[in-house]
Amino acid sequence: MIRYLICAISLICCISGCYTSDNTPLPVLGNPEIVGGDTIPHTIGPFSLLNQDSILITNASFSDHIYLSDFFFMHCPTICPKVKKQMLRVYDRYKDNPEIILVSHTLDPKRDTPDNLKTYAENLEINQDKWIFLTGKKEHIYDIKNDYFIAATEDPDAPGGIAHSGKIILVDKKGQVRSFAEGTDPKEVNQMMEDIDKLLKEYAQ
Amino acid sequence: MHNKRILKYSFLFTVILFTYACNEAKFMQGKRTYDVMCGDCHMEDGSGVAKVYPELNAEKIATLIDDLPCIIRYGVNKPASLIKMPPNPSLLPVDITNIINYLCNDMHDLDREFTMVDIISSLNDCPKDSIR
Repeated sequence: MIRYLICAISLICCISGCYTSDNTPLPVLGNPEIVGGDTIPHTIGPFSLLNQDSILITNASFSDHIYLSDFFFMHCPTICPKVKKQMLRVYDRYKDNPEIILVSHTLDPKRDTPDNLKTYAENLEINQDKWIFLTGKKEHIYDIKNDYFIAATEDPDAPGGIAHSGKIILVDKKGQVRSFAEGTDPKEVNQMMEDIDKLLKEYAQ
Repeated sequence: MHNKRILKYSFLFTVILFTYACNEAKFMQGKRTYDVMCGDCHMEDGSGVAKVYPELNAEKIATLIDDLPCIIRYGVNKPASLIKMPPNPSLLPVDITNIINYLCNDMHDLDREFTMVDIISSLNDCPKDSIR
């Protein structure tokens, strides 16, 4: 009898465990800083970059949006097209949702000028208010990528000249990193879209 | 009784095996080369990415069929296009033959098959400037 009871209780625990884990908010990723006894979560540091229309974009530009960020360059012959394909999937799903935007940073600002990024965006056939392309000073971009936990380095042996990670990063309205996905893997991007829905719900409450 | 069961299972197994064998691409080597050399941009299913990396649909393949060997070997270098298709000097005529046969018969149903001799003669007639 007791054995059955234990079985039943553990079963209930398992099931309720599943439910509660589904309701937990997305974690805030990155190492928090402790300043004067206060824990300050990791946020995207201050940036000022130009979009495809040469308009200055800073952190404040995104304060009313959650956004998806990736790093790429136009002459990248390896992973970038696949990441763009997945970003396009996310774009298609959320294009009518005013709360979310997509932000692609170039790692090759010398060649990917605002003009060229504009042409690229036109060829992607997307709404350029919804999906923006950022460029700027190379040192600044390579500095800011660290806040998104993106690894990238110039490497003459790498195809296209830059070796970099194809991760897609989800950032909330406070500039905190909440989720990430390997941009070449459709399954991880499916999971990412579930995380986006969860984050949107967090703001809907 | 026991033997009958073994027979039943081995029959089932054979059917499954045959189904899978039939689903494999006819030009498997072409598929492998395509996936590695072309799939990153044109995607493994040929769907491309909007206008940036063109879709390889049946209509396009049918229209470009005579130019395909030169395009695959020397790339596309239209001065106006932002992202140019790079040349692929590492692809041998046999690889290009396999890729084109895969595109025509597995990815699409154009029912055109080329021999390596066909492809070599096309490659010999490629425009010298390689600007298409």
